[in-house]
Amino acid sequence: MNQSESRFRKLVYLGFIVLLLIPIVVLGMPGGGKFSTPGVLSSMRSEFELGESDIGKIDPTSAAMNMVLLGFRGIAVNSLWASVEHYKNTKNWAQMKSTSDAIIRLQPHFISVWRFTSWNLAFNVSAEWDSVKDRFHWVKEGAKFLQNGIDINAKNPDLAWEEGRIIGFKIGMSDESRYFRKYFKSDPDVEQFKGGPDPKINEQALDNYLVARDWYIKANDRELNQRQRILDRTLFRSYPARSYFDYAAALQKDGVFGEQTRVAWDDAYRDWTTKYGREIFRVPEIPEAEMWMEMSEDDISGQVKTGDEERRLRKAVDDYQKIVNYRYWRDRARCERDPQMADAHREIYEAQVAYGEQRLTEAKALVESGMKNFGDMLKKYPDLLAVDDLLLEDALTAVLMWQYILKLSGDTPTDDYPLKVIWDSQQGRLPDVQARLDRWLLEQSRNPDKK
Amino acid sequence: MDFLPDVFNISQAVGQWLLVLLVGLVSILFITFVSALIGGGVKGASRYGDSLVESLSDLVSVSSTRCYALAKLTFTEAIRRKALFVFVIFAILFMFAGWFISDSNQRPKEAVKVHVTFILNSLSWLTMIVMLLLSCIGIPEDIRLRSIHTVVTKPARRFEIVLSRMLGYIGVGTLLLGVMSVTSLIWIYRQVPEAARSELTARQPIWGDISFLDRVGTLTNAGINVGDIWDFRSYIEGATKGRAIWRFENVTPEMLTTVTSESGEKKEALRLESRFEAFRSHKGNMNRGLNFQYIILNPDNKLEVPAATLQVAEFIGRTDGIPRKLAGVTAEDSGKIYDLFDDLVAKDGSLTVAVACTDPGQYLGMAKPDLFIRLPDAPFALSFFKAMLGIWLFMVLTVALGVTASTFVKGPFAIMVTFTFIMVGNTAREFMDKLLSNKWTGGGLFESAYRILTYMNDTTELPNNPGTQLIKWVDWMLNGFLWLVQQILPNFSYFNMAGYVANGFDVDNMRSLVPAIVVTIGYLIPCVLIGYYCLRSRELEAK
Repeated sequence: MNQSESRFRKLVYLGFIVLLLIPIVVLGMPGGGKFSTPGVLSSMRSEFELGESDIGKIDPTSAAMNMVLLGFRGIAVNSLWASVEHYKNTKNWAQMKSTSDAIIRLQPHFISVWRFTSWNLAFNVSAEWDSVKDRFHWVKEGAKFLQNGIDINAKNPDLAWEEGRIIGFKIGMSDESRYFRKYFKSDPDVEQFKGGPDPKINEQALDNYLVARDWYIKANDRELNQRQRILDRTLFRSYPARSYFDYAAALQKDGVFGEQTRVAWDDAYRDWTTKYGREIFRVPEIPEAEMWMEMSEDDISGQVKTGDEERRLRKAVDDYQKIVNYRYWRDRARCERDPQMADAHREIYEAQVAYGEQRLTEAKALVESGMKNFGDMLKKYPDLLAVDDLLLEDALTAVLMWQYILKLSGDTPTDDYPLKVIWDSQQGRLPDVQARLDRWLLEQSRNPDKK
Repeated sequence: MDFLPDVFNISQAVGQWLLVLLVGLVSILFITFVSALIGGGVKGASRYGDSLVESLSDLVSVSSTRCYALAKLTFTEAIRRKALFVFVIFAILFMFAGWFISDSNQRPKEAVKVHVTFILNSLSWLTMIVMLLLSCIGIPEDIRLRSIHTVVTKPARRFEIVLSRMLGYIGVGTLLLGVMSVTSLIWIYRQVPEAARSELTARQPIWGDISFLDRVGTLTNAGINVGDIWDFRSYIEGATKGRAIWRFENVTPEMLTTVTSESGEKKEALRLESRFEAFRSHKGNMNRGLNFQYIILNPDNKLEVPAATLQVAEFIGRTDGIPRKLAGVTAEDSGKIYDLFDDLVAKDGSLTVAVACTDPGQYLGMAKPDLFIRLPDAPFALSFFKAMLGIWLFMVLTVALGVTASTFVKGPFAIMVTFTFIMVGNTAREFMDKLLSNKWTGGGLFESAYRILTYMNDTTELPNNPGTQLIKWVDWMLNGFLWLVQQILPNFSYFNMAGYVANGFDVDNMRSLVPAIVVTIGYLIPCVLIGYYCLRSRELEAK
């Protein structure tokens, strides 16, 4: 091949390159210039809001890393995932966290990565540590990690919901919840947070369920514009109201009674019935009608035209109420916001404390009054007993406590006492309830300041 | 520290190396001699003899002046090839590294670990890539441009050319690493959060040997397996006779260190640092970590003195001082005071420390590096520069391999060959070790493929038929080849000393530094010889 042939061949290649460049320029030309009109791709990106700035906060580090790697992002990510798994298995937590951060910089809009890694940190890594303070640190790591994802993916509802789950569910319902809930308001890292909360996850020193509620509300707001991919929509949107229930129940569990707890139940009831209960859903069972949880017979009749539609809508309301446990929570909140029920819980709890401190006469009076109030309330809301295991267990705990006190006082239990029906019918639950009560009393004796 | 290589047996390694070298040399000489004999008859054998004498003459009459001149030339050439551009990448790395690795939530130890690991790994790979490119293209480029003729026509011997090339590139690498290591150290001191700077240290540990007692007090090789995927630690059961026992040799009063107690009181004590792992089979008391107890044993007179009951600081570790005077606690020796060195150190100078978990139903996980005597720390810079020496040795090995490869193949192929060699050695060694030591069930390549395709569990016996016999035979052959590869590849793990520095330990001389030096020399010598013979037999006119 002589030199002119080689030059000609190169010129032909150059011609092809220029030819291919023309459609690329036409398709990909960016908009926003003074004279140019945007290319097709640019217009579509704006229309479907797929640009970086439309999706969320732009992370220059992430953009730089992706640029530098050219087309090798996939290989790099795979290698990093292998490293994360290795670091996790060999318990090298610092390296695991920093490698996870690197992955997320390469895949900032891959929602599953955010969800997986935050769960990994908050649930799996946290459980590996022995000290509760260390466990809490890693739960926070998971929550903070997710907050970055929420900023970077500003329209995604799933991540905000996950954040609510970590702060509500993980902190409030794990084995260590008693400590986690306390640390959430008063971080154990006293040197850094001076006895206050970690502002990155709890700026206003609120209860964890109230903070979780804010995240669930954020998730619901986002869900109006972008479909969530976690739960049935009726369930997904129930979480802000459910957080109120969890908050009120947690107050009771912590031994906080009186007006604060009653008001919490009242707020929960109103949120459940007037906000969530009035929220309109379109369900596939009857797409032609609107459905909401708190539908009366008149509401149902007003929504439909034929008898068949009415039957289908009524069934849909019933089904979805069952899915979200709507009626149970409504009745439970109605019952718990009653001052008599609040008194019953308080008296039974105080009786346990008095028993632990050997104030037997006081304990006996408290538990008997509590049992009476409890019995009265259950007569008022008999349906609750059919579905509420917690209430049943509370009732059994009260009777058990009463029997402990009588035994220690040398008295004989009478045959006629409030909650007898429950005691007799629920003997199968007794071993668990007894174990839980004994453990609680043991912990109280170890940590008398925890009341 | 979650790793502790075994002490390197230098005499055994050198002996094995000499044997391999001798066998290799004899084999090559024999094969080449036979080839010469077959190809040229008696004349061929005579030419072969002359050539051999000439080679030996080349090897023994190396001129340091010529080597210096050629090495200087190589150095200048590398600089002209923009080798120093690596500083630009290095500068960019440092300017923006903080974006990637700084995290305000990091705990002090984590911050140090992440920063130090990042720096040492970055320097290692950055230097390796630059030196790989330089060393692999030098000689092929000289041949391509025919500039090598100006060298070989002068009284420079080809052995000197190979050696000088290596020395020149090593000089460039040394300059690069010298500048970057000092800058890196300053960067680490500045970048690591102030609260974490106390973690920038170099612990001087005295390691002991570990053994276990099971729950009834019988001596065993290992403790209980609690199902952890990582079998680094094994566990002892709480409130039983289960113990992990460390035996430290040559313990003397000079090892006592001044420690400050929680009350602020300063006293002389033997510092023990522990990193145990807790495993709870039930929640237990969540207010505190699991408790463990140090018990000092004297095997000579069966004396047992509990030293302290402490809480586990999992993944963080704790340092405690064992005072010289210990009080007896049992009914027989109550009120008696024992001296650590006079009463508890055995006659052979060893100190035996047993660790017991005192929480019933809970477990403590321990491995050999989880307990050590901590002598006064050395400066962080010491361990850092030792790790840099490890990187330097890795660079030397890369240059040696690269220059050798470039004497028998062209530049791009030399790069590929050397890079593959290094990558396989770095990443696949553990895999090969496990495969060849039969730690993995399921067979080799073809047997695994057969099992996957037939959904067969790796513990099920293969059916006995000619097909499976063939599969096993082919796998056996492949494993033989893999064994050969494993023997040829250097153990690169010796060069990576980041684990010591990142965890705040001084680099262990006998476990890492000396092996790295020995391995480098062990490869450097054959590389120079192979490179020389390849260049000698290469047709320099062929581009």
